[in-house]
Amino acid sequence: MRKRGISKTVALFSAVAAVALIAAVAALIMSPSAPTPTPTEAVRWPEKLLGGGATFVNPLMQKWAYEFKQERGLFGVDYQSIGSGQGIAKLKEQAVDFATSDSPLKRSDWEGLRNIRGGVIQIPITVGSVVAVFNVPGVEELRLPQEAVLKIFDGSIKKWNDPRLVELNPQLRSVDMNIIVVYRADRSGTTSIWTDFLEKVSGGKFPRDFSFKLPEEESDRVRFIGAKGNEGVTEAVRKTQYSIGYVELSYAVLSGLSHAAIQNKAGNFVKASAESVADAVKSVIEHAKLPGPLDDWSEVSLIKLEPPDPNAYPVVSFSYVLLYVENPPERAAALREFLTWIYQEGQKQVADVPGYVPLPENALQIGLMGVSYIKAA
Amino acid sequence: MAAMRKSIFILLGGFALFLVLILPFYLFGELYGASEFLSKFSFLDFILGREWSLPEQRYGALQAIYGTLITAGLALLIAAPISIASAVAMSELLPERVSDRLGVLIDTIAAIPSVVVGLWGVLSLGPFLSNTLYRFLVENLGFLPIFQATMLTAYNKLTAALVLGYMIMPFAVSVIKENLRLVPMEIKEAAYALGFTRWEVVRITLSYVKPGIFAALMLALGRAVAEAVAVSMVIGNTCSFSVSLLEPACTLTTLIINNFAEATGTEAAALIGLGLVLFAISTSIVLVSRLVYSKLLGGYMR
Repeated sequence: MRKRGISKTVALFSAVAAVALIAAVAALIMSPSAPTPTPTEAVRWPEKLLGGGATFVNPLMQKWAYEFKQERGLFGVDYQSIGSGQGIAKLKEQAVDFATSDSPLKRSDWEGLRNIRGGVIQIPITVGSVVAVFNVPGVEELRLPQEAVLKIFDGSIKKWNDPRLVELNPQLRSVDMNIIVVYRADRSGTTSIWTDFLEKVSGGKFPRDFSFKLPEEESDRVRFIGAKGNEGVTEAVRKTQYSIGYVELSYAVLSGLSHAAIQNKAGNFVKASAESVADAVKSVIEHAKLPGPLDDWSEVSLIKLEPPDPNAYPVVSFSYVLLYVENPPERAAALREFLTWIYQEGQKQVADVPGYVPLPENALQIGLMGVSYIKAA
Repeated sequence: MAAMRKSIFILLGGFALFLVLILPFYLFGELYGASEFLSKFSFLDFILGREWSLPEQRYGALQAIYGTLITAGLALLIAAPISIASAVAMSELLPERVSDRLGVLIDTIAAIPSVVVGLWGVLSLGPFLSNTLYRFLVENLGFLPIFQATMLTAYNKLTAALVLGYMIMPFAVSVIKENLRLVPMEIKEAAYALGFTRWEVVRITLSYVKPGIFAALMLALGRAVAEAVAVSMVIGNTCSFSVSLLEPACTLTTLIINNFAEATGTEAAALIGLGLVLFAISTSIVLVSRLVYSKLLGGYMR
């Protein structure tokens, strides 16, 4: 008797639970399905815009979202720092209003999205630069021809007192030490930018990729240390004497590590700074023909376009914002409002975020032109 | 009251049953992963493949297997004597009040998240050792291949093994301690009555719990093989077959954890393959230890 009582209780309980669950799901499905038409009124703003993508853009985007809300108070912007690849995936799923990425859409992706919601607008949102940070006791300055950068990172220059380095850096003559190279062990946009540069210098031999290619020879290979994230590389270089690694400029600035001056197209040795990065971008836009906002950007590389300005730092790259042309009316208006603000007032905030560089005037024009393509549909 | 107790009991029983029931789903997941992997690779080529290089799309697991076995084995070698010694000290030699508190402290080590241990390894232990112990090893024992290195860094197999050893020690200690506690008092009393010294009694007790010690060490080894986060922070992540303990390596878990987040297609399948190899290694550790354990136990029954 009692046994049956228990099983009855259990059955009753599970039935109640099931009904409650169905009710909850139904409520979830039903609630947003009643759109309120708002035709003639003044602009209605959505509660918030959703964005996601590159971690590199994140500090800047958070600053922008905050300042925009403070200044205009129209709507919030929720940006999630999930990585460029995930950002593009979310854009394809139409789960975000905009995505950001350290590299433009691949040609196949661009083609696949061309006929969806009017296609995808790709415009530069900021510019990144990757620098070679190093830790050699007593050495503050390092001048590297592009060829030397390649040879250090492909393992063929093995020692700090290699004649190819000492020639321009006599301070290294007595440093009879092996070079320890620190690279990114995880997939990263930083590696993609750095290897884009190595690929250019090597004439295509060093592969551009999100993962760093190690030397074949075992004795060279074991001089290479893989660390995770820009923080990991910065920390490894800081803690390891006679090492060199590559990180985004902001990490070099914040950590106080020395970074190398790299020879540019004009032949000058230039260290990355707000000015030298902006000069690089400006001069590329002046001299090269860049695609329009709806075109394929996959082949665009500021590094391979070789900034001609005599003060340009050569390892620079755009980060992009990606969004569909056609958006629901409220969201189209909000996207236009927010992005226009970024390209105008927002640029003043950039200098407050260490290591980030405002876009030069001609790049802002490309951005504003892209914004004008946004349509309500 | 009784009814309620009974229904609680049934509920809990249901949970246990649930665990058993999801096992097939887990195995199905593994098999699905395996089929995905096998559709792209030949298993033998994969595990005997000498090189792992993502930019060149070369996927060979051998370097990672080498790294996993050498770091986990070394960690066990470091942790075993320390754990046995401290378990003996706590259960046989130290006054109970002291050993109870020590026990709490050691259990606390087991509760430290591995990312925190990794940070400690990379920010403080590693840099300290590379300027002291590693320098000493290279300068004085550099004639041994395992201590040869052309540079000094914190990122190598020895740091990884030390960090791992530190992480697996508490597990071994607490299991060995429990085993020692189970040794019948009569045996010890009889030994003392026969005039054995304290040291001799400890030796008798230890030989009595040999199977337990072995099981404890295998449990620890299993954990060392599977640990990912802390290892990836200190091992240097460069896949190689280098013999020197002061040079970097990669392991199965570090390759997975470093690359899985954004991997697609063939690369994802290769990482699943690494997971399968890891699964095979852990399973065989469990099986071998079961076998040896029952053999050892059998010896005692006789």
